[in-house]
Amino acid sequence: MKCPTLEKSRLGGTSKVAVRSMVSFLGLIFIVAFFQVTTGGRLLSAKNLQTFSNYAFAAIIPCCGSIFLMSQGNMDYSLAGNICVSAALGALVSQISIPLAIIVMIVSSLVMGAINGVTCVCLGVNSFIATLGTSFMYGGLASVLLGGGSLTANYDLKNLDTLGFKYGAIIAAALVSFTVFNYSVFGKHCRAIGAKAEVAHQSGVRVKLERFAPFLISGFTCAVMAAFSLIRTCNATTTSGGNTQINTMLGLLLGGVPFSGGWNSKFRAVIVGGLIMAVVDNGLFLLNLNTASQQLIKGFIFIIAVALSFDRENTAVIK
Amino acid sequence: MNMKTKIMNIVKAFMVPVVLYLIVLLLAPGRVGNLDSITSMLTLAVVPTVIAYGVHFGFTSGIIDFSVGSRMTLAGIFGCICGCFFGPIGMILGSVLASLLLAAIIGGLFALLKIPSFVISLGSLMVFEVIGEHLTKYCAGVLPEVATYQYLKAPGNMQFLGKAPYNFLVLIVIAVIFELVNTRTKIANQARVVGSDELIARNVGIEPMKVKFGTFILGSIFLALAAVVSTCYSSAVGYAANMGSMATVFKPMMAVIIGMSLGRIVRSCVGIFIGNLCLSVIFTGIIALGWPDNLQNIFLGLFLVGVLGLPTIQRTIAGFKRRSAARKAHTNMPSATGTKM
Amino acid sequence: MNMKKLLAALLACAMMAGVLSACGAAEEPKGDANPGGASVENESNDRTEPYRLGYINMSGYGATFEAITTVLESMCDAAGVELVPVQMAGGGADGFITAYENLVNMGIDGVMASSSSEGQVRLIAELFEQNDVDWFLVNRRLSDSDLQEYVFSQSRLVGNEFCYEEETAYQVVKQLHEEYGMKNLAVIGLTLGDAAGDLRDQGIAKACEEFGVTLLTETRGISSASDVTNAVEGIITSYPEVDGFFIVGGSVTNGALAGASQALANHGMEDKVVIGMIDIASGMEEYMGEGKPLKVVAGGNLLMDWVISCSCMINYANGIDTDKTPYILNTSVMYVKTPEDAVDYSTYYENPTTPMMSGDQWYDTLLGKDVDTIQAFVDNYTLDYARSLSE
Repeated sequence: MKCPTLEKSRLGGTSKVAVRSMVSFLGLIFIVAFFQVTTGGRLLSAKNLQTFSNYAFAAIIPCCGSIFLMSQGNMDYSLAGNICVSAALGALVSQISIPLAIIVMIVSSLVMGAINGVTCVCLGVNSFIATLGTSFMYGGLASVLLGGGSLTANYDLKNLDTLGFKYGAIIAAALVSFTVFNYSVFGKHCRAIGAKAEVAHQSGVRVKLERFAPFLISGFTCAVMAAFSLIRTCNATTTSGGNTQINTMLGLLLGGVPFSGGWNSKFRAVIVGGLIMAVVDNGLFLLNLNTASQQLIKGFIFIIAVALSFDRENTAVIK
Repeated sequence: MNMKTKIMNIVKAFMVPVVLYLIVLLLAPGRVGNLDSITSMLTLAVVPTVIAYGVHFGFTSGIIDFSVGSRMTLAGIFGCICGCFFGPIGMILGSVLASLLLAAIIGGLFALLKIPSFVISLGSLMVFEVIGEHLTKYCAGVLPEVATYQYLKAPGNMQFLGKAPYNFLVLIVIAVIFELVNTRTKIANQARVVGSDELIARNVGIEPMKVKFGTFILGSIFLALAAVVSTCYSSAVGYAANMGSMATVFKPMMAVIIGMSLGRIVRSCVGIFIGNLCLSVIFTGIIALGWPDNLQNIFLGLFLVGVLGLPTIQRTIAGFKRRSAARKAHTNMPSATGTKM
Repeated sequence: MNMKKLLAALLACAMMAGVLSACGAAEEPKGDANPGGASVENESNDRTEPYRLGYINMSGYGATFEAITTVLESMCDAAGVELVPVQMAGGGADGFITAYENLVNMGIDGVMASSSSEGQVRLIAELFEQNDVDWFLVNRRLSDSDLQEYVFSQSRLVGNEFCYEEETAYQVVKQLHEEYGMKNLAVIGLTLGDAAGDLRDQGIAKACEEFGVTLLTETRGISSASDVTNAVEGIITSYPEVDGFFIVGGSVTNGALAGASQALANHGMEDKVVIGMIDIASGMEEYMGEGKPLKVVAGGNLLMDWVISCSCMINYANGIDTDKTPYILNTSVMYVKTPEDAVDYSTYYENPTTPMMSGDQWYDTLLGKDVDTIQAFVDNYTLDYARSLSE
């Protein structure tokens, strides 16, 4: 015989969880509908699909890599610097050979990711502080490489700036990331480490190694972003990469990932949060508001959206 | 800890910026080997130190606050407006009031909404920057004697606060206040407990959200003072745009981290100052050496990672030495048969 | 779990429906209607609707850009052209490209286009060429001969104008040296990566070499007034022999001039060190004059860049000199040296709220005129002339 009170509280608890997990979806639907109406239908128009693909790429790809980090309760603040260095090296080498440039970008980003990993895991420095330090280093290095300006890449890269390539890359990255995060042992271990690293260690998880790997994944996504930047603009500048780290962390938080990681980190946050960031950016741009107004509205949206979707009950510590 | 040990610890802590200075002196003796240069390095450390005092409380409790720069700018703008009407006292009080109000807003939102400080501070930064821009442009129209389209001017009779030796006197006063607040107030002590382990803090009856709200308020007073000193130092406060004010918090944050790592041997107020002094020595050194200033960021990053990674490296080396000594001892130990193993 | 799947499916359907309905839409909605109401009848194009001229509105970046917006609105209003602004989509190269793509999507007829670097120009050229959009390259001098050849061969290119940034920087250093005896220079510059900044650096280097001025050090990436004070303070103490500062980009950092002057005042060096600057800063008159450090400010080209470009595009749309494309024009800078000139500059020329000319004055000087007349106007434009226009 079921206890009515317990059953009621379980159902009540279940519906609360369901509502909370739906808030991100509902938020995305609302934002899409809002901007579709206010832009006079331009948001989802055929012509805007090309523009939207750029926003979606810039939002979703880094999230695909950073979800592993955030599920462990870590973060990578050096994404922009990493992208900048990688783009600079890629631009230089692309004049010789484009495939070689891609290899160089991947290797350099992985090396920078590895440095982050060593600093955080082996030296025991907090991930935010460690990557803050490395972000300064990579930013300075990018500046040195760009040697007083920007670097022009091989114009043939522009041929890859197609709708099919971009959406294809987004879907491929999302599928791979989804599969690894949800169905692989590594993905489960990431969330276990985020939940309680000591318990994971006691359970036989190689915590140090599995804390190191996401930094490499994050580095790899930086290489992809750097390549994207070169494909879009055929240029590497000190502003390549922009505020990628901020947008990525915000996107994942908007999607419902707890800051401290753990079992409540769901992959849907990558898609939902990334799409919210892309739609907000694209929508505000289409509304043609001045930059100050855009910034003001974005500030309010971020606070309200995270306030609605954040899972407070299952987050022990809110920092 | 007896007096001799305390003095030795302070000397050890100050060795870090001194060693950095000596390195720069070796490389560019003609440029930094004078009193003016040393005074300049100390002066460059004043404003970031006061900012770091404001950042310290929140950082200790685990808060990441990117809105520091935008709040300082708004406090500075408001201070300049009040300074125009009410003189020096008006400038200080105006800055403090504005800073307290902004801290109450952001702290209140954080405590009420219970979402990560990262998001609150970022959202607030975006809003406060726009407010700062509009306020500056509005003042340019109604108070042309104190404001231009891009910035507001500090009252002329306050600008001495930014110059040596007055800025050092101000710093000493603020440092003493900080030390008293940091060691004698409930909020500061509870902030350390919350930052250390929030769950345990909750179990012993501390309310973390209340404490974190308190750290915003406490920190805002020092940020207001930093805004006043900074505005007097540069004689103007200009609005920031496109999230440019976010960069204001990084160097003071680095100094807080360095100060915390020196916390075992010196007081926080001294440790934070030493952290900022190290950064200003690096900055001045790069200028003096004529190196491109993009190297500054590389050195800053390396320095931060080096300082923080050092304890782990030391532990690893110590552990390695211990294991090697144990292995040697085991090898040299005579066996039951009387032969060495 | 079922509810989530249902919601996800609903979302996917809604987005698909939106995409399909938008794809099937007959026409893109146009921007705001031209307030002037008049349409530009172009004999060669048989146009009955207003010519839609796009540009990136950067008024959020300072008073100079607000003045540019004011002037463009005034000129287009007078000419009956619909000005279509679009905001910068984030900073940097990607921001420019996205903004121009958006303008093309908005169905513009012509665009006044700038870029963050020379390397981007080719991409912009291809974009406009593929979409049959007339365009004018603003404030960009092409140093690469291959790129120049490519860009100037584009059928849609109406013209290119630029300022000799290198020459401007050279002149500022020359004037500081010849008029004030400056021999040891420190540079406080824009963040590396800005194309104009790079050219100015070249001009500085050339002038230093020619006049025997020692370039002591450079500091970049300044983001606040106190950063400038820190930088100047550090330079003064490390290089006591410094007698000149060059602020490259006075409008970029708010309060840069105030910060620099304060640092000099702190060391009692206001009358011993001279400051030269490119780009106008608000309130600069306070730092000019006897006993004050700011001696020469070069500026005015930014606004004139856009004035020329807009007038050329409007005249081209009206069928004037269509056989002479691409036009090549250049702007000069004004050298502001006294507090009175600084005040008048901001009042009569680069005023964020009042355009430098009225509707009739646009027609007297630029609108309906050929390219040579426009170039002559720019070459002869002075602050005295700007003052006379308001009388």
